[in-house]
Amino acid sequence: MARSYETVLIFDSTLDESVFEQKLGRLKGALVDDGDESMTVTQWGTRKLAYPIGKKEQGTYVILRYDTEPDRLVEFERLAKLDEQVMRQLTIVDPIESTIVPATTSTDEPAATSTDEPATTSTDEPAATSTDEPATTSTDEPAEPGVEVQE
Amino acid sequence: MVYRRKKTCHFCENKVVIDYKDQHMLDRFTNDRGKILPRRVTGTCARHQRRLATAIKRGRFLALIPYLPDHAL
Repeated sequence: MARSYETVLIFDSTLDESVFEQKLGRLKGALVDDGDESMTVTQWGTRKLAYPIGKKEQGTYVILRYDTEPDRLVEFERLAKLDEQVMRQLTIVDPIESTIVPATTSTDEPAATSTDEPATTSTDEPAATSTDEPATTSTDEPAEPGVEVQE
Repeated sequence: MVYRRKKTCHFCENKVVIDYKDQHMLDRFTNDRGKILPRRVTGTCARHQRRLATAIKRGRFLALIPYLPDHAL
C-alpha cells in the first residue's frame, strides 16, 4: 500500500545545473513513475549549512513530497547513498500538511543567485535570542512564527 | 510572595504544527550551545516536547541548526 513520504535531499552546491537536474531526475524516477502527479518538488536553493559537511559549507536543498510503495523507497535510498554529490538525505513517513517556506527561499532560481541570502540570515540569529525568548515571552511572541508558517 | 506568570505551551496555545524544516522555530527552543531547552524553561507540554525534540534532531541532521556553537568547531 502506498504511503505518503517527504524526503529532504542536500546536494553539493558546486554541482552544474544540468548535472544536478539529471541526478534529481534519476532519484525521482526511482520513487514515482513519470507523470505521477502525487510528487511535489520544492527547491530551497543553495543555503549555508549550519556546520560543514565533508568540508563543504553550502548545500542545495530539495524537498520531495510523494506517495509511493515502501519497496521503491529502498532502491531510492540505495541510489542516494551511492551518489557522492548527495550530502544528506532524510525521509519522513506521513509528513505534516503545513509547508514551510524558508525566509530565504528561492523557488525560482534554485542554484544560481540564492547563494548570498541564506548565509546572512541563517547563521547569526540562533546564538543571540534563543535562550530567553521561550521562557519570558511565551504568550506574546509565538504569534510571529505561527504567521510565518502560514505564509 | 512571588507571582510568576504561568507558562503555556507555545504549540498548544497557537496551534502551531511542529515542523523540522522551520529553522527559526527550532532555534528558539535551543540554547546558545545548541542544546534542547527543557520543558521547565519553555513551558512546552509533554507531547509537544517529544515532537520538538525529534524535530530538533532532524533539523541538526539536515544542517539547518548546529549541533554545537560555531566557536566549538
